[in-house]
Amino acid sequence: MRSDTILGIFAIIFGGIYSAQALALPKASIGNPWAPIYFPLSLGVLLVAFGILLILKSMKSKKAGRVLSFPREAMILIAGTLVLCSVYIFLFEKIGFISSTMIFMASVLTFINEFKNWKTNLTVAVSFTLLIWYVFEKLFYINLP
Amino acid sequence: MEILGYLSQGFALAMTPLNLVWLVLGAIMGTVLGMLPGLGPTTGIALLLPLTFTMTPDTALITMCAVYYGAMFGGSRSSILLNVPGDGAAVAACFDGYPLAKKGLAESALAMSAIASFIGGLLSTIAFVLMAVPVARFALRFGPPEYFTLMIFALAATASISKEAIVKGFISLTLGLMISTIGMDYQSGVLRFTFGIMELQTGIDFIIVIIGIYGLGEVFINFEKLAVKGPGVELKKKFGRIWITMEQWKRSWLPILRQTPVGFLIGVLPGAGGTIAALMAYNNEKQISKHPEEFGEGAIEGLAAPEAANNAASVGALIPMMTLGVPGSGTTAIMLGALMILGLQPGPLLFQQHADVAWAVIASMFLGNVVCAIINIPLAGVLVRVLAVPPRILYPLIVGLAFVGVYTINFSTVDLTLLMIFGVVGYLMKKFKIPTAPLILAVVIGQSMEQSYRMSMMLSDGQLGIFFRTGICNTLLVLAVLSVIWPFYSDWRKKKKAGTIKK
Repeated sequence: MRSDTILGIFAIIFGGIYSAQALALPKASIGNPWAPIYFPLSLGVLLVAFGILLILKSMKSKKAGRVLSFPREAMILIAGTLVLCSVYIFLFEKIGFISSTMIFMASVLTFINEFKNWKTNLTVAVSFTLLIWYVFEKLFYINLP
Repeated sequence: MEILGYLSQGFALAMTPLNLVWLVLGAIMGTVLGMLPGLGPTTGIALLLPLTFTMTPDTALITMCAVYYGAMFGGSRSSILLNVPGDGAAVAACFDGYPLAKKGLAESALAMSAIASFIGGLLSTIAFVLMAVPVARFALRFGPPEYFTLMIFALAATASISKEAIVKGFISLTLGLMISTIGMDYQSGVLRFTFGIMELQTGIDFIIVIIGIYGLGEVFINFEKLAVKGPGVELKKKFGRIWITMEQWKRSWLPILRQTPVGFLIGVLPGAGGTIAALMAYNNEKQISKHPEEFGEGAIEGLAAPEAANNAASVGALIPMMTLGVPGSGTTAIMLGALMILGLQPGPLLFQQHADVAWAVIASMFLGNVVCAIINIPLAGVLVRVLAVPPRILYPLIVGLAFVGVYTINFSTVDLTLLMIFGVVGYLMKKFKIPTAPLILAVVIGQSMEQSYRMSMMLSDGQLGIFFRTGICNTLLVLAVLSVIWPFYSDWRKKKKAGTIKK
């Protein structure tokens, strides 16, 4: 399927769900009860309309939208980074900024910059963490966990 | 005279040691960030935003502006040396900058682009000084309906930059407005789309959206380039004297002066920005030139004109943001947001209630241009070494910086999860070729847009006629409609022109 068609379908579905959610929002107890609903509701309807327009446009034109390709190696890098980020978020407040950030940076660097460069990776991870910690804690008095 | 008085006060504040230090640091960071391919001023300011939280408003704004035009100066370094633009606005600098470098004239190209940027930036700062106060005074007449229509114009113009992507631009815009509806509705206290998550009650901070889309999203998109190992261009590390010849100056001074006002005006308009200004300036000069065949082969004026124009555009873009409080681009939207965090409402009242801050920033732009010229001419040889940092180390650093930056906004890990989500959203938007600027703009001004809409409706007792009541409203609405029609019209005109030539 062409990318524009996929995007159009997404817009219609998402706009539809959003509109339904908007209709289900609680009414305001003062003033016009529908006041908090008008704006989101019109956005949902607009998104559906744009989705339909995009599909019509991509059906009409031959060149609109290409078939998307997701290169395998890039997907692995993105998925891997996201997994490491999730672990980082989980550890962040539990073991504190310095330890979690050093582990995170070292693992992301190893993952992206390959294990054989471990000396560089480790140096960058440690110096980045300490530098950030120093700038935020000492220069800007922003407390990190 | 009044303006000169304000300006001298501005200089006094801008030249305090702290502000000067940040001005220089901001300009250096901006130049370096602008140089690195894939990282433009928007990403740069987004990543450095958390640093400004503890600053006073004047220092924060001076720093951000310095990063902004520093990036405009720096963007062309990698265009000239590697044929890879540091940001969109530096694309035009590749056309003649890289051929010049290949001819062995890299020093002249580096110097000329910095000189042109300097002149473009300086002249448009003077124009800024002359225009800011009248525009701000005029904007004092704006009530909620005028603001609402102004925002409609800014959003419509940003969304409809190209005919091909116009529907996608509006999808991006609508998604941005949808994000801005999350959280508590300030007028009625109703919770909207929070799904029981307490942290969402105050809404999604737009900085998370920005850092997600421009920081993480850019990194993800660049992972695709990591996967494909190109032949790579040898980076020149030894430079002779970075300066231009008299002959080169003679060819370039007029194009610089001609294209600066073009760039400035394009910058003032919402939607269009540095990239369009630079490309337009390049095409203009190519059309006027007596030797159009030299363009693309290393014509020095083909480098000078777009460089002057994109710096002029970056100064012009600050006018609507500072005087009207309505930004016309992704970068200025971020700056507006940052100011709001600091408790300052940019807009016409900024020049009355916080005249010191406004004029300090303007004065700093004069100083900043000088600083950037110094950084980019004598120090160019040193700074371009940054380009040698391997991307495989650079990208993890950006990811780390993005996480720390976002955490410091609310000290909540929910924000970090949102950051990841918006990183993926940013990646997908780039893949589907959906413009990101309309979304960012909508996220930043969405809430005030809804509020001004509802305030107008309250004023008029629910009558939509209020949006057509004054001349200002009508003009802005007509401009909004025109900005949507314009890409179609110019495309039709181009086709017609091509058709007549064929015949």
